[in-house]
Amino acid sequence: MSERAVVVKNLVKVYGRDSIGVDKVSFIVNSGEIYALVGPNGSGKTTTLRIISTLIKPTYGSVYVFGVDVVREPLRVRSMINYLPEEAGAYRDLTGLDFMKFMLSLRFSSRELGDAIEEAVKIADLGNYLRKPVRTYSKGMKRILAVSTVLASRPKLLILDEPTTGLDVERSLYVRDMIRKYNEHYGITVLLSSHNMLEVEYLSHRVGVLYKGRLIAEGAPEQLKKSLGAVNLEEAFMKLKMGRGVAE
Amino acid sequence: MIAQLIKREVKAFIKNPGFIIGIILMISFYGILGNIVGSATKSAVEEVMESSVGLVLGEDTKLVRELIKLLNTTMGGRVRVYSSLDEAISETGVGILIPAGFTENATSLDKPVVLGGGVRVTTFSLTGAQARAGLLTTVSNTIERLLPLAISATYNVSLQPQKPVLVSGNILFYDKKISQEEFLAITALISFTPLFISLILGMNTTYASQLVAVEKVEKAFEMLLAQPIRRRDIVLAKILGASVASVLFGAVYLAGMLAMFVGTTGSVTAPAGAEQVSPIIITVNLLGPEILGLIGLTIVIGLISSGAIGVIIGSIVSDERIAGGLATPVMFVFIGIGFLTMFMGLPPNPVTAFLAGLTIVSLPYMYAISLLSGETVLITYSIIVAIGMCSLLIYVASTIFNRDIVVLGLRISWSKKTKERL
Repeated sequence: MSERAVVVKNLVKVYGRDSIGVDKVSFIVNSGEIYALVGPNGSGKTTTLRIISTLIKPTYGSVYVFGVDVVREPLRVRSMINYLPEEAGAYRDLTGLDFMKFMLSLRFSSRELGDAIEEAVKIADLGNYLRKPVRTYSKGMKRILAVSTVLASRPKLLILDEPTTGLDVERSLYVRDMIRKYNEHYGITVLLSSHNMLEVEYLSHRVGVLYKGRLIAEGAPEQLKKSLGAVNLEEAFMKLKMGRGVAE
Repeated sequence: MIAQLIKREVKAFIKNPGFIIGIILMISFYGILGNIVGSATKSAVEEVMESSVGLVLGEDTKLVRELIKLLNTTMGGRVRVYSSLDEAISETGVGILIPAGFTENATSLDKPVVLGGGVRVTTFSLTGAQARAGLLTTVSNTIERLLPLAISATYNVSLQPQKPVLVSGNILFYDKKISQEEFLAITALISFTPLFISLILGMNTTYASQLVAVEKVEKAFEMLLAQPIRRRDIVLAKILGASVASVLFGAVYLAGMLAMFVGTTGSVTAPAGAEQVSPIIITVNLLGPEILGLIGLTIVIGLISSGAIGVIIGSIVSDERIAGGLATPVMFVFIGIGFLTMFMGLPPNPVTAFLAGLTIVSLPYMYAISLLSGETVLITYSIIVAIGMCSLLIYVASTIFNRDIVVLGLRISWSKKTKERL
């Protein structure tokens, strides 16, 4: 049996009196796989990823990353993961290169740091722009800078919230390839969220469908499509949503 | 069109929770501050107006007796006669010496009339101290006005033209005898120090809050929080980062303030031919070099505390606009405390020692009064409270940094009615 990278059990997050982020969500991400959380806006994807990344705490339930409790030992969890938030940016006053150096210096030192920076520079492929201040970057360039920094850190678990948001088609394809490459070559477990069903179908081994804070379906993309009689994940999602609506 | 644009801008301000909280804070704080300063000023003036005057007679002539009679009538029977200046100052707080030769000088046209005197001051409060020190001048001015009347009554002559009456005296500052010029230098420096420190700390709060809030706006914050570093370390880094900027700001500001200080109160004007002495040197001579160390310690504790307040503000807001709205009134609160100390002064007792420690900016002031009053345990007490306060603020900032609020921001849910009104 493969090692469990993430175990989420009965996860509940309540924001206010009338606002429930996630509601009794349970799923497991196996080590070495790419697991995608899909769902519409406000379905609880970002909340779930933020809890797993130790950014916010669950109201109820438990989350373990490689057997470590995210609430009790957040620092240990952070040493095993890296997180790319949705709309991640960078410090405007730094150059792209300095941003990479700063972020990676929080994880590596001496030779390891040099190697990681070199790797990030290679992934970003921003040429001379890396020596220019981040404030001169386009949205896509900022995104690729952030993606390259988290990839180059080679964590055991990579948590990516909408990794290709704001990227053009060419760069989106490139990032997807890089995610797959890092998963296959370095055995990095990837937990991502996305609106883009094509991306999810291309990248992920398994998918969890979130709707209104609940996990309404889970499985391999092919398996989901087959069970719902859908030609693609978009159609599968719509069928699930409609079915859910009828059930409610 | 322009009306719509203005409406939008005004709405943006009104809807900013920082702006609203800031206004409430400012009105409450400065309202209380105004009342405290007002009552302190009133009681200082009343105390001076009601205090007795001790006279010491260097000669006993008919003119002097007539003058005392008139002075006593003018001052509502508050004139007392003592055998020595020290006794007069000790008993009434202000003593005036009518020296031997006074009658001769008063009745000749070419001789100056100079009185001796002294006043006891046991406060650094600008209002209180200056009101007390001003008593000497008030009494000498009254004597100046009454002298022609006394001469007319004594010698049965027509009214003499008014002659200037000068008073030359020392100030008994707690138990140290100092000149009026030295007194002015020390009270000004010790009173302005809390104001200066409060401005630096206010700026530091703003800098620290902006460091966190801008990071949120730049969208690098969540990435940073997911790195394998302790949140407490991030908090400390932000506090120290803001402090460096504030120290630079403070150094420039201090240079400007010193230039102004030397230019206005000036180096103490010494008698002709004597060397001019800096007010800082006078203060150090009186209070010891430890006062400079205490000012340094206050700045360090204050920077850490105000930085922690800034981090707390930055942590609970979603952007630098709200952070600015909240940090600005906090800055004015710091400055208000500085003003409060400057105008009101603090009597040396455990309550004021606790307050000085709590507000931090008044520590040098508390050091000075506890040293001069001989109750040095009070400054120790203040420092312990200040360090405790500083540690508490760091703890609160670190705790908030570990909560959801740092990522999600403070959520104030307006009622539906309020929302519609806005």
